[in-house]
Amino acid sequence: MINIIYSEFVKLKKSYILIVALFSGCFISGTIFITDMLRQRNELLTLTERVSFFEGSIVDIDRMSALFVYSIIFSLIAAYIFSREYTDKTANTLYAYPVGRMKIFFGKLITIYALIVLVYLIQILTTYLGLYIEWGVLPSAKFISSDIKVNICSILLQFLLMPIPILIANITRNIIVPIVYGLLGDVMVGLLLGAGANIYSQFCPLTLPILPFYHYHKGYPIDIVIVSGSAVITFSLFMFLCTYHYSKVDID
Amino acid sequence: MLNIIYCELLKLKKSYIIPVAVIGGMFMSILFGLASLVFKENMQTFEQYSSNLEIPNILVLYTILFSLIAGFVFSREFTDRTSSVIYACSISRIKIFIGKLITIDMLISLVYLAKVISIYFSYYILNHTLPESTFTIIYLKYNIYSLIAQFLIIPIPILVTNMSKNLVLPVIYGIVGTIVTMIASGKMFRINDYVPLVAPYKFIMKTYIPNLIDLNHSVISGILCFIISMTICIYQYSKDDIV
Repeated sequence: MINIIYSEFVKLKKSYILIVALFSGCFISGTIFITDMLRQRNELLTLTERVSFFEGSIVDIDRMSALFVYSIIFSLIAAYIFSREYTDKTANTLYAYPVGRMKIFFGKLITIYALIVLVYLIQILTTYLGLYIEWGVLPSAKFISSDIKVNICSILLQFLLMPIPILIANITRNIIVPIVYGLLGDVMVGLLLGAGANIYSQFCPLTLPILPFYHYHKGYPIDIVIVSGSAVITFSLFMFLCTYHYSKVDID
Repeated sequence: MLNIIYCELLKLKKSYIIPVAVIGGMFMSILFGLASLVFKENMQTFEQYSSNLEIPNILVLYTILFSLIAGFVFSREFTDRTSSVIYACSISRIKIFIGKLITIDMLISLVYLAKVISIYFSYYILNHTLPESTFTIIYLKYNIYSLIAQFLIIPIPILVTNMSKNLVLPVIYGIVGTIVTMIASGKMFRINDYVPLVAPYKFIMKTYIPNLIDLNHSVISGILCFIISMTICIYQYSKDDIV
């Protein structure tokens, strides 16, 4: 099992995926940093005002990255890891290994999860670093620990959504359709959560990774039954379809 | 030349790109039509309906969709290992490049066509009326201008694709372009008028805000962007090695 995961990481070395993960982690924080620096409102602010600007920027960065970037990037990563076997014509080699297909599937899935954790880690690091350079203060330890907790919640909920792009990538054997899924899902989530996280938007499972930010930072109420129900149903249904399709599909 | 375009269109037949273009054009009107049906908000004018629909379309969806189309049409030669076949044809590379560019422009026009038809169709289903003819003429006119502005900024993703020979980086360019467009469509900085990526958005908004006067910047920056990036593109494409 460890060999399979190691070989997946070695395959990634030649591609652009690691650069993409690095870039998508620091993109939104860099954008917010640059626009804030260009606005030049740093002079003559008291300490408490700086801390409140700092916290507001953290909430903005978390929310905007989860809304605009992560849906597309994570479906791109998932689709690349699964569809590269078909586009590079290496599926014959991979399935000739004396390892069960389920093991290969879970090796690839763990690789995707590791990349997701990497993206979130880079985002948290660059956010705090950039905002510390800009404002010169740090928020209270309570805020930082709650922010990290919310990010961990969001990571776990991102894990639950990953079987959907994997299934699409395995059925179409192509990288285009999963990217379009990520794009359309992104637009839909943006429209649903544009006015705030009300009760209708919690029915859509695609909004799950962004709901913790709304709940903890902005104080929107969450219906635990709907949210946990949609999470469990989405993950179990798509995981079942994924494993079934992956173990039954023909090699070509 | 016609043969090249025909051959490019034939190559697209096996892929998912034509359904993707049609769905990308119609997705927003389907979503808004369903939302209006669910929330019983069908007492709105056509201007409100279509402007609600166009802004997320052009700010979020189209930059990534068009760079995906451009990236697919150029990078499939490298990922499917057919580049050694196509460059062995007795046709100059610039002709192949222009043929591919015209194919991409046709796909973009297909997206715009699907968008316009689906907006009118969904509004007619919801409200049983159509807007008056004068507004329709203005609407179509500025949609065509916006389409031409999209043609002007499409060489940038083509250049990114040809340099990276991959579909991953054009998608990343699309995400960056989306964020740049969203920042530059506001009034935060003075440089915003000169960003060529905002030109399609400015032309669409001219329909709804007729007093918008700074279209000159968009036209000039769009044409400059086309000339510069097209020169770099053709230079890179004709000097590039076959792998």
